[in-house]
Amino acid sequence: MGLVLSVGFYTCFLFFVAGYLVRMVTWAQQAPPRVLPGKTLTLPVFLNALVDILLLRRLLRANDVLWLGEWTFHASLLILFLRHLRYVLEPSPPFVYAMDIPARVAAWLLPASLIYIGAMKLVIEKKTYISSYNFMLLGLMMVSCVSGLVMKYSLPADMVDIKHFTMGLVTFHMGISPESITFLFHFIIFLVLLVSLPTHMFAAPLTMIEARQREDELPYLLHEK
Amino acid sequence: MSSPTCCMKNSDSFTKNLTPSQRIEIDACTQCGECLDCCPVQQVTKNPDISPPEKIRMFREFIMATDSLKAKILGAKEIDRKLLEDFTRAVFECTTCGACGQNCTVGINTQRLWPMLRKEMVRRGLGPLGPQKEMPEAIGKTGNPYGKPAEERYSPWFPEDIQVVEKAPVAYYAGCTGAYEAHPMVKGDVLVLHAIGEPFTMLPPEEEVCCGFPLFITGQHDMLEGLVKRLVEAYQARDVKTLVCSCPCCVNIMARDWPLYYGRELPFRIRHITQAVAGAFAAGRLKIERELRERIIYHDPCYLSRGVGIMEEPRDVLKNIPGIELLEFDHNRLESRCCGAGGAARKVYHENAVAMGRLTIDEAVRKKADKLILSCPACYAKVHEAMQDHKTKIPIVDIMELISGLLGKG
Ligand code: SF4
Ligand code: SF4
Repeated sequence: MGLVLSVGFYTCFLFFVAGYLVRMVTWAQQAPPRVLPGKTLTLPVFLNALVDILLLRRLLRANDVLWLGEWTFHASLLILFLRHLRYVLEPSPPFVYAMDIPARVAAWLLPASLIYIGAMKLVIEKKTYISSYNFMLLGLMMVSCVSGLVMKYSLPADMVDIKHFTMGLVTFHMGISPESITFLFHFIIFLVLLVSLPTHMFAAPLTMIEARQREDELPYLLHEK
Repeated sequence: MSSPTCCMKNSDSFTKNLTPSQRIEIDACTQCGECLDCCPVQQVTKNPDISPPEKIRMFREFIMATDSLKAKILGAKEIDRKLLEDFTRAVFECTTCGACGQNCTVGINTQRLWPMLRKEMVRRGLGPLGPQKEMPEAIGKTGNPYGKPAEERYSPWFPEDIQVVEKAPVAYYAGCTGAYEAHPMVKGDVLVLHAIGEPFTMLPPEEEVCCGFPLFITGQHDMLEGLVKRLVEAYQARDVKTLVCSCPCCVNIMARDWPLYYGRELPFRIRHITQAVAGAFAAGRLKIERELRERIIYHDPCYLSRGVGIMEEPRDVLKNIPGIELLEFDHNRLESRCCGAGGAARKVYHENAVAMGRLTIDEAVRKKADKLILSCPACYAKVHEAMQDHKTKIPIVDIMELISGLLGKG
């Protein structure tokens, strides 16, 4: 089983990395002729854009009710991601330990925010446009959250076994997989998520920086600086 | 739809016309669907299949089929022609108003993205649609997309008592839509420029050719360089330092794209007419004595507000009318809602355009405005058309038509 999971992990990880590399090559391919030269990014514009990204400020402007769920979701996911780094970093850096308490809260907030987002879109706002892909991701996340919570609170898995296994993966010393069924389930869902992560993950922050730059330039297109 | 160009396969790359930023934008859409609420086409069609996220999702699939890792390993996939045709219709039904981009939760610049996706579909022989196809030939023959004779460009509306000079630092470009479809607007422009008192020049009618915007917006870019160079050189020969124009679409392409097609910075600056007129009011060269005790509402054209950032000058101009009460649409300035005339979609999806125009009329009437003030020839022509056979009526006036009517009659 350890071998199957390891091969699964390497394959999915390779797909994830290679998929993004190809995507980035496509992004960077030769631009068509007649493109305005890129503007230089100033520090104030960058800092402003950073706030846009970290606070999801554009979403806040568009829909504050949905924003509450989305921001909670993204923040919880980030905290849990950082906390999970303890499985692949030895020794774990201090920020990973610092995430202990926030991660306990985020583990509950994440599924709650998913339910909130789903309910907002389907029941309260009754959106005419529903992305089935987004709902599939939402479902996968939910399953992943629930399996994580079960592992933590009702069917605890052996943390030493898990760390041994995950460290084996990152150091290319494939070991035996932990026996916990919940872990297996949680890990497989993680692999599925890894290959189906949305394309906006890396693209949206870049677009937000560009948008901030564009908005700052607009008043000077027909007016003197 | 026209047949694909000879050697083009449905499996050819879809990213050739896109800038790196636009390729990233295609990946950046989260399919959140928030932009549907502000899309005027969605308001009148209620069809999510042609919504911004759906267009982006489809185009992303085309890119995935031809440029993704899988495509690189297994070879590019031939895309179903029906899908390509559906996408083409969706991207041409859009007014390219850019409201979706203004409200996009990740900041996608849709006002620039849609025209480039259209260009890609034109390259593949799937667009443009209907009468849009006739524009290049009409422009080639007559200089304007309407195929009207150059002799009729100025003669039906140009005030007889006004003389333009041969050479001057200021030139006025009337634009095809104003000159052929919105006479009161361009006549108002000339009257107000004359009232300012500074001499200005204009190109002879056969030389004032299309600015290129209708071709740009319908993805037919082949003639653009020729048109732009011809116009820029003609103005340069007249020693022009400031080119004034009232049409938002013309101003947009002049400011944003002319330098690219000209190959370098323009030898003159571009200004919207409200900038010149607001400046003249501020400098005391224009003054309106006559009072107008009316409630007026000003509609921001998409390509003027979101396009080039002109939002306050039209209001400054209107505030110079004594007695006026200036109302605002719920969606104004950068958030303005398209009147339906944009993106040359009106030439194909006429009913949509009329329905959108009526939403603008209805809101103006609901706000108890006495007049609806426009400052775009396409809006002017289309909103007038939308009012025919419509239950609610309101006088529709172009901003310079209004100002010129109030000048000098103290
Ligand atoms: S540009 Fe305007 S019409 Fe087109 S999709 Fe966006 S909001 Fe709708
Ligand atoms: S708001 Fe932006 S990110 Fe959301 S669906 Fe519309 S285009 Fe995509």
